[in-house]
Formats: sequence, C-alpha cells, structure tokens
Amino acid sequence: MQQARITDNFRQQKSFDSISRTGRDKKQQKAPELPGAHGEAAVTNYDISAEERLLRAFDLATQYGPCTGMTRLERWQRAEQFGLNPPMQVKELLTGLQGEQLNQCLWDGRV
Amino acid sequence: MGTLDLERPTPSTGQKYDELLSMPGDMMCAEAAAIPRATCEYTPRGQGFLLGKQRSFDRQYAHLYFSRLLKLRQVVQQQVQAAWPGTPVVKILSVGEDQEVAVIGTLYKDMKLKPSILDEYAKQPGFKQALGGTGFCSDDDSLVLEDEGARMSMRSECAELQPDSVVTGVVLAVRGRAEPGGDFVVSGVLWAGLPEQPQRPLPQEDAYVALVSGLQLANSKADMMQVQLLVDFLTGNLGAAPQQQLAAKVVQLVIAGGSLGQLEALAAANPYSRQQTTDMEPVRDMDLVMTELAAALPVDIMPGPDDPANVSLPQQPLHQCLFPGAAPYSSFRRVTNPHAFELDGCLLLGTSGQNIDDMAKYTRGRSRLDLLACCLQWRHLCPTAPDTLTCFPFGADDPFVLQQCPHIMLAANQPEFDTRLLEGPGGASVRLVCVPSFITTGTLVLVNLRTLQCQPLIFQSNYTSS
Repeated sequence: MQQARITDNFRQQKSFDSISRTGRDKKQQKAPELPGAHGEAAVTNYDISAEERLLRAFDLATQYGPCTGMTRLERWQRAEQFGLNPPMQVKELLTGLQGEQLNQCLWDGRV
Repeated sequence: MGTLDLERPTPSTGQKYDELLSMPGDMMCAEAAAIPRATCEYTPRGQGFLLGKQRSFDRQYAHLYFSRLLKLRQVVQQQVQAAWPGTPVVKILSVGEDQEVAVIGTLYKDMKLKPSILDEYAKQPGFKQALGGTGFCSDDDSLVLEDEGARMSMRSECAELQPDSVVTGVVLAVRGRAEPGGDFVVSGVLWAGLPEQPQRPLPQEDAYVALVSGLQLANSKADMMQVQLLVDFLTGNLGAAPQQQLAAKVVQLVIAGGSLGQLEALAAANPYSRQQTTDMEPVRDMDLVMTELAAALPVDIMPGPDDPANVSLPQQPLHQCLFPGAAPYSSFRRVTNPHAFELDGCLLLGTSGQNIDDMAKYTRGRSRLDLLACCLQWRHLCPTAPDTLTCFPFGADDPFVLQQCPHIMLAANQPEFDTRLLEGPGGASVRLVCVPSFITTGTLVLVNLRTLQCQPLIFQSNYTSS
C-alpha cells in the first residue's frame, strides 16, 4: 500500500508571482487602436476622418470660446445660448451614431 | 463723509414710559393692545447662485471670462452705438493704426504688487511678502484689454479710465487708436451701465427690512449682551410701545454673513479631546439666537468670509445640521452669498462683503460705497473673481452679471456704516448700504421699503465711565 501524500489532494501550485508574464501577453490585452477621436495612431492627416477634421476646426474657432474642459456638445450648446450661431452640421455629428466617440475635444487627455 | 440721508426715529412724547411704569393691575389693558407684525410677500431670486450636486472643479477659468464677455458685450455694444455713432466696433486682432476704432473687451490690470503663485519660484523674494494684504496698487500699474482672440496694452488719456479707479475683470468699450509702438491710446471709455430696474408697487405703509452682519459669535470678544439686545428688539421685547411698533414693522431680517466667524479654538484643538464639546459652544449659541429670531420674524442667514461654508463664491447655504433648533421653522431660510430676493416687488441684492473688500485692494481713493456703486455701473457683482477672489469655475454662465437693477443693494461686514441713494437712467433709484460689522459697531440697519431710507440702530451694552 502506497502511503497517501497530502500533495495528492492538494496539488502544489506555483505562486502567482512566479508566473512569468511575457511581453506577448501584455500586447494581446490591449485592443488595437484605430485612428479615432484623437488621432493618436494617425500617421498623416489623411488618417483622421473628415468628421474629426470638421470637429477640430470647430474646437479651434476662437469665437465660440475656449474648448478645453468641456465636451464638444456642451460647447456647441453654450455657443447657441449666446447667439453665436454655431454650425448645425457639428451638432448633427455629435448627436449622431458616433457622437460618443467624437464628443471629447482636441486637447482631451493631452493638456 | 457728508451728512447721510437717514430716517429720523419717530419723536418720543413725554409719556412714553407710562406703560412700563404703571401699576401691575394695568397690565390687562396692555395685553389687549397686541401689535401684529407686518408681512410682505417674499420671492427668492437668487437661484443662479445655487450650485447643483454635481460640481466639477476641473474646468479652467477661461470659460467664466468668456461667458462674462459674451453676456455683457451685447449691452456694451448698444451703448457704443448710441454714444459714438460713427466709430466702428472691431475685435482686437483687427485694430489697425490708421483710424479711430472702438474695442469691447475685458480689462486686466497689471499690478506688480499683486501676489502671484509664480513668486514661489522666483529666486529673490520680493518685498511683496513684506507688504501683506494692504493693497496691490502701485504707481506703475498698467491696463490691458482682452477679448476672446487677443490682448492689447492700453495707455489712457481719458480721466475716467485711470488705473487707480478700475479693477480687473470689468467689461468695457474703449475708443482710440493704436500707436505705432503697439499701445492703444484711449480717448473715451464706456461701461455697461445700470441694468433695467423693474417697477415696484409703492407700499401704503412703512415696512422695514433689517440688515445685520458680523455677529462673530465664535470670537472671544463677542458681547452676548449686545446680541441679546438685538434679539430682544427684533422680537418686540425691548422698550415701550414706540419701540415695539417699530419692531412690528420689520418684515424681514437678513443676517449677511459673519454670524459665527472663525472657530479658533476648534482649529487648534486635538480632534479627540474632550474640550471639543466646549469649543463647539459658539455653534450652539448661534443656534439659540437663530431660534429666538426665527420664532418671531422671517430670517435669511447668509454665509460670510469666515463662516463654516465653502470659501469660493458663490458660497452655498450653511448646513442644516448647524441649526438643529432653528431649521424646523419655515421662517428660517439658509441662503447663498450673494443673495437676491424680492419683498412685495422690491428687489434686494446683497453680499457678505468679500467682493467689495477685494475690489478695495485694487483701487486707491475710492470709498466702499463708491465701489458698490461701481458694481452697478459695471453691471457685475464681483469683477475681481476669479482673479484674486476665489470663485467656482462656471462653464456656460456667469451668474454674477446683473440682469436687473435692485432697489436695495448691500455689502456687509464693512468697517463702517455708509449709505447713498443712487439715481440711474430711466428713473431707477437704488439704495446702496454698507452694513458694518456688529461686533465692532453694534449697528442694525433698518431700510424703509416705502421711502428707501435707512435708519441705523446702535446697540451698546458697556458704558465706560469716561
């Protein structure tokens, strides 16, 4: 009769710290980033979508006030409230299907 | 200070103490003559000063300045078209050197004595620290005009636009031409001017609103006897029939800040010490005073510079837990600073004085009352916010821009009592009141809603034998 060992019931497992984490694992966790709202992975101007270009022009127009610290939709609503007649096209883009991605201004996360 | 147009107290007849000195049996007829308190319809008007639950402090102050400029630019533009018909109004970026133009923008006053956060990084500590908070004015202050695109420095040849008499943050229109060197030489200036004053129905009888500030109950120098005299007067327990009749005409009491003051003992004490209960005595005293007052007449309590409320303007109402006794009364209202309300159509706007105190550091040769009048002329309650006066970073609005001209405007916790009736265009007349601190002067100000005249009452409790 073989003597029962405790390791039969409780399998020895390596501690978590000693599990090696290769760079390969880390890269797989991050989703591939497309040139999106902030164009971070964009290489040339061509990679930024036309909608994003239009919205950036709206961000940089000084007559509607500063753009940092508020979403583009809030800024559009503020401009309308003050009677500055902001372009309707911008509002349609921001309330459309892609509205959530395009809502943050140019400097969001950068400044 | 010349003679103030004060309301004289009603002349006393020789028999005024007859009720107090009469035989005890005559008390029956005294009780029969109960004096009812006058009432007025109260409408709060300060909703713009209440911040919601979601307060984001991430925003920068550029948005506040933008909102201010946009709100006041239309008003100033109308003034410019009326006063300077031929002059074109341009943005700063389009100012050329050939013709006289008018520009609308926000004023910035460059003062080298103003404390700046960058001084911490300067290599040599300047003498700014030695000067302290006495004022930032010096002889070489310069003026700069800013709009949403650019800024330009100005040289004024106009008597109304001198560095000593203006503050940062005012929206104005200047007329002049640009010099080849780059400065804009100013020949004329226009402010936004008084807003429109709503018509109010004149009351038939006298009704008073009582204003007091700076009770400073947490201060060790606070005289409880003086405060008790104030409470007794307002509740009608002081004096004989003439005083009680005057007290019965008070329809509203506004305690404009400074009621508690700084709890120094609490700041120094160990949070776990048993002394904390005794250190919190002033808060209980304040609640007792408020309960007595709220039981007698409507009370509005505003937070002040040192009170336990947030420090940035607009200060939010003091918390309900500070007033366990007074909070259940519907006549007790905890309000914001600045505070605006209407009594039977008479619009009252007041602050606990931080805006005037701050503006006084920017100017020389202007009295506190002048600065209060300037707030109306510039159509802004605290133009120095957020430069040196802490302010909430509003995103889409500037609630301190005056939309309507009040009938009574007050600034509290001032060094001394001062008042003036300001006449504006279109028949507007505003009673400006500087309410002094109660702990130093013992003054309660009664403003007559019918005639807009002031009657200051001074409560004194210690008479030195000098």
